[in-house]
Amino acid sequence: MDNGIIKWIADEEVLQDFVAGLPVLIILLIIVISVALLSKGADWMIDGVVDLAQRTGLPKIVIGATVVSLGTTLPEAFVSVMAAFLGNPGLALGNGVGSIIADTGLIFGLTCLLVAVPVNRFILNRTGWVQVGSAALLVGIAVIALMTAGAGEEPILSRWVGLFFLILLVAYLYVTYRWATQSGDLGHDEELSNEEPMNLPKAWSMIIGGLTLIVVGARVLVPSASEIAVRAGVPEDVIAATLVAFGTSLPELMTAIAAIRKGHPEITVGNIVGADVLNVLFVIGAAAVAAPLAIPDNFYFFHFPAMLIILISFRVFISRADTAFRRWQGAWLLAVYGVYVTLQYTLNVGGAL
Amino acid sequence: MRILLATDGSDTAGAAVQFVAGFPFPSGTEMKIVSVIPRVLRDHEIETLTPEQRTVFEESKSGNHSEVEELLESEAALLGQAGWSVTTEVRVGHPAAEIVGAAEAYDATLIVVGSHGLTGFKRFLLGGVSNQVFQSSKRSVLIVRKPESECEGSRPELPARDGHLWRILVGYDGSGPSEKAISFCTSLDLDDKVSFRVLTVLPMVRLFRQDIRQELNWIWQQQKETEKEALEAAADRLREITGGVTTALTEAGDVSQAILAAGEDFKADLIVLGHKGKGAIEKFLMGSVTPRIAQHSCRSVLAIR
Repeated sequence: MDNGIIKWIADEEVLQDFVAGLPVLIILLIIVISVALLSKGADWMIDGVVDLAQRTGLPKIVIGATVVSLGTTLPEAFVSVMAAFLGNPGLALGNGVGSIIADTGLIFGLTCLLVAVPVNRFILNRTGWVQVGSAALLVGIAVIALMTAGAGEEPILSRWVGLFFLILLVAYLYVTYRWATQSGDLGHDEELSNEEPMNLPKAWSMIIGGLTLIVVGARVLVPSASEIAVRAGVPEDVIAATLVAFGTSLPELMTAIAAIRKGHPEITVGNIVGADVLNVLFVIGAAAVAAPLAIPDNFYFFHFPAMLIILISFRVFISRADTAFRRWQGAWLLAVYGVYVTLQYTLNVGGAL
Repeated sequence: MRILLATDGSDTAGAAVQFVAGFPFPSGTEMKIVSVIPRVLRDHEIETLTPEQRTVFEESKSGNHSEVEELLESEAALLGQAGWSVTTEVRVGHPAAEIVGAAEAYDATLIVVGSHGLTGFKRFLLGGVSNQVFQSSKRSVLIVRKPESECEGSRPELPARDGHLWRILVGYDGSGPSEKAISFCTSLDLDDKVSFRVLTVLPMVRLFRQDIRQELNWIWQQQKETEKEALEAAADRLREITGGVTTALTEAGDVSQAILAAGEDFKADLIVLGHKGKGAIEKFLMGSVTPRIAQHSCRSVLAIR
């Protein structure tokens, strides 16, 4: 591979110096463009991979449980891996945790407030527990890391923890596939699907083009977000947990809006629950494998508790819901998200000490 | 049923007259043809004219008036020959506003307007009275299409008046307006000269291929079964009065495109859809299928309100 390309990807200073010389508005514009690239890239890549998977004769249920499920989390994963790789662990971890909070608090909260979201009890009683369980596992491992860290050392999520999460990810994908086979009538009429496969070069172009957009988007977003944090006088974690997390959750938000428009908000529930699990196992797992993630103090007293409050609220709502989620439940999730964001900007609560 | 037909002497308006003449409206249907002379000068502008200018203006106005009356007479005769009871009216003012006003005054069940099947930039530039009437009226609107060359290749022939087998595609989604669309169809003078296809399009979230997860979700599968049953029940209402009824259930990311494609596939003379006016937020959230089809179709479209 050309040295220039490696330098461009690996050398943080190249883009950081470039971004540092730009006015704030231009950097914000770059952030918007990179977020759009991430989103479009994920869309293309999923389209291409799904097409290839269908050519191999894989059943839709397998494709749904793997490719499609991972797809909307690709932007978060690439941004966090890129951030960890470039030495911004706060951004990597902040993006993962912030995305869980944005997905559940903002996107699901908003959906719930706007329309009646039906409860798919079979799936929610299973993946709903994995959702809280994986977040609790992350917090538990982080607490152990804190307790075992030497004096003056920062607790760390090691590469082994990252690898452990990725192994759990494979197990989770398999289990969701098994649950999906048990939950629905799989003999539904595929004959009604008038889907034409795209030609092979097109499928590959979409995969390669999508991947390129995601890599470029993530590569440009990371230094731009860091620079905005410096200019705004807020810590990198705050930008990661709010602005970047919102940006990388755009696929989930777009999907949620499309699902409301088409009258099928039940898709959003599955999507959000799945995304939360993947944000821990896939996003934080892959980022920790790329580089060990130091855990700043503020995660213990602010980001982790905020994440657990939102996820436990959601878990309680699932167990209390009969046929559909209530509007006030959406309002509560949205309010927690609002407080979480506001505290970070007004009192600088979320910033690293 | 009371039908208000707007005409301006153009080819498209002529096509609308021809369409209405042969369409199997229920017997006893009354029709009014209205033509609007656009107001060239406002009252205060007329006052500023010199006496000579005013004479020329008045002569031209009266000439226009008699030309329009002649046009209305000939079109009324055409409809009369087809067996319809027809009255006429000439109005002066803004065409779309006057057509909507005339429909209110006549208490019309249906407004009929002719339209070119304009596409893309041409429609953006020219807009059109038919579109304005569709947007501003609270009544059902039938837009009769005489397509431009943009629709070539899928250009539908205008139905001949006698012995034509009408092919009508009805979009059905179980909503109140689409139930009204079915009721409208059952009110027609049906025999073996009409062939119906009742179509339900299930909207899929194609973004990030969430449609695959959607299909696997049992809530969606249950809804699909319910939609199937509702579709068959709607078709059965039509089957009670005519034999030629088929149904189709399809899944699509873009409902409007799917209905337009089904219209082409069925070679429909007319696409009938229920339409409920929506507020801006609702439009953003829920989208607007009927106005999109009314704008983009190369075939005639009837929006039932």
